[in-house]
Amino acid sequence: MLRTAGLLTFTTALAVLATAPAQALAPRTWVAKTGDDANPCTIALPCRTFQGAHDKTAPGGTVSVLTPGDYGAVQINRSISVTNDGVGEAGILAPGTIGAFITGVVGDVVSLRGLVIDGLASGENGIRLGRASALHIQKCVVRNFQGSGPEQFAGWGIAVLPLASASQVFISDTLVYNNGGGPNTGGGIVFIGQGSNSVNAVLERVRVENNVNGIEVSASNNPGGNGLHVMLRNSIVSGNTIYGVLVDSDPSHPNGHLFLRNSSVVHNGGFGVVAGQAGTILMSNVTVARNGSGLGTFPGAQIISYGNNEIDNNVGADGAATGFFAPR
Amino acid sequence: MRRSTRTPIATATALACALAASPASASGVSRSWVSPTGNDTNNGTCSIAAPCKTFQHAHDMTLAGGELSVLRAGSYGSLTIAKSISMTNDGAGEAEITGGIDGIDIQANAGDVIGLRGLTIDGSQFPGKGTGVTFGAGASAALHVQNCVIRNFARGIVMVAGASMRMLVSDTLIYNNGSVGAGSATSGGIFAAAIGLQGAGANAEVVLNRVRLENNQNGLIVVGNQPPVEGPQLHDGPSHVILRNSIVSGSAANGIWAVTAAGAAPVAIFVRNTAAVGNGAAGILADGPGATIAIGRVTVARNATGLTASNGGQIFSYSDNEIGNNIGADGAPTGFFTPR
Repeated sequence: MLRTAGLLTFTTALAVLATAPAQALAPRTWVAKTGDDANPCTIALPCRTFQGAHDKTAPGGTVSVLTPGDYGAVQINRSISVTNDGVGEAGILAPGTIGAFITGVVGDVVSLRGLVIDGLASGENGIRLGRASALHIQKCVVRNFQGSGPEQFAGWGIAVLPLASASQVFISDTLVYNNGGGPNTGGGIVFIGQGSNSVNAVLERVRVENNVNGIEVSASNNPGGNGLHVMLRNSIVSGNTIYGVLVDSDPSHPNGHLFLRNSSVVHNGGFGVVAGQAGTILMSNVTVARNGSGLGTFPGAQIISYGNNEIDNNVGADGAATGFFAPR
Repeated sequence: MRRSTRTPIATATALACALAASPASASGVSRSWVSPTGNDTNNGTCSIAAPCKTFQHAHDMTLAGGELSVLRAGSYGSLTIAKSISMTNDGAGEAEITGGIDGIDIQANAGDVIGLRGLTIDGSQFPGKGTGVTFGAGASAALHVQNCVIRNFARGIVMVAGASMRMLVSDTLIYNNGSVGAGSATSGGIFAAAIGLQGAGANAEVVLNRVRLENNQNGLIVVGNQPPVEGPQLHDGPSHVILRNSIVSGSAANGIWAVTAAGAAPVAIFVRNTAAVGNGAAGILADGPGATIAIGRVTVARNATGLTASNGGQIFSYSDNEIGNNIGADGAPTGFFTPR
């Protein structure tokens, strides 16, 4: 897949060169708060917005930040990396809209790094994955996405609605807080199955704090394929109003999976860990404490423990795993 | 041969310049800087007031053991490193190495110490070709990589080890490296992987901490020395790799892979507190009579297959791993170690 991405990139670049030499896209573009989108987005003549720079960047290229500033929402339709490496806060303010909306083609690889994405209480999603083969999110902050529409999944900080047959999502060192579209809708991070499309996701050192809901993996619209498989490691899901983590599936294809490892699910208002309809959750070295309730399981769902979790001191019932795996 | 000629010349040059009290521009500097507005022409000092423009020129002007730093975000070009040097970008904005087929080619001298910190090394202009960082032979040389991103090459990091070489990589993201048809360790391009280690000079040691190998052709490949190989003569000692607190995920082929042939140098990988998940072939593969992988607190899930030990390779477990939910067989360790 990623090898194909390279070929596609190359082919596309050739096509662009062949058809519009005067408008050749640059492999490397820059933005600065003093920039101008009429510029070629070079380091000497940077652009002003991420969208302006994105549009002048060749597939496979990079947009980087020169100065602190707000660079606006961006719709991404190609392989690209958008990076701020410590120049100060690089913001995407996205009231009423989507901060970074990825709508490319199969084979695209998109990287977002070092960005602060803020919905100012009305944004729909901070980051939304439509179509790409891989999405890498690093060192970002996603907050204040509390819009209630018109998008169906407005009010989630990060929304993965995969339109490629197979997508990979990697999120690390990222803080997602104060998101939610209504009193009980929206929240931190959501994965919603689309047709038979599958997702493998790894979330490492992610903090999902003070949202309406924490993390949802919903494969109930996902009756075929390999399903949705999310791993959460070394992370915190805390202070969310309703649930901490929730997984559900289509009962005829129970392929919504969440693997929790070495993480804390604490201080959530409802259940900490919920296996909804036909969902599967595995947990190892996880702390589930001070939630409204600890573990909850719907009929047909399962929570499998490796026998090494701390599930105590919840406000209501601690709940119990439905099964155990032995480490080996 | 490289080692035996370069060091005396460099030393002699430095001595001669020092004795003659030449200006610093002739002898090099211990401290150099780059900026996108810098200038390489007739610039022998790369000072903070008059910085250079490329990493290669700044490297060339820097004395062995010196430091090269980044003043501002920019693209500084690919380079060859031939001395002890520390290259650092500490949050000045993205400092990128791009534009070449390869990123950084380290042809170390014996005993050299090289530091790379805060760099983005990108092969996207020649996708699926080249190598991000090549760490070539030099007995007892050490490479430290921190806070870097390496992407879009055929191979992320390749270490072709001389005797007692060390490589330490931490807090580094290596993604989208690989090339077409590179399904095995040595076909379609050696080390079509995030990190590849070959040769394993005697007592070569590698520590990988908090690295994320995501969406590559293969994740980590460690190959025992077997001819033919390029470069200087290799020694037949074992190599030892420790991979901890890390993620190896989304590889098109194998996640963690130790391979040797009969009679080749042994290789050992110790994997701890790491996830090998969502890889397209084996999550963890020990292949060959001298290939040993030990696993402690490791998650092996959602790979095409979990653990595979073939052709005499061995996988030892500390009995505290989560090995389940793979698409095909989970596999099983070939033996167990007891914590103590």
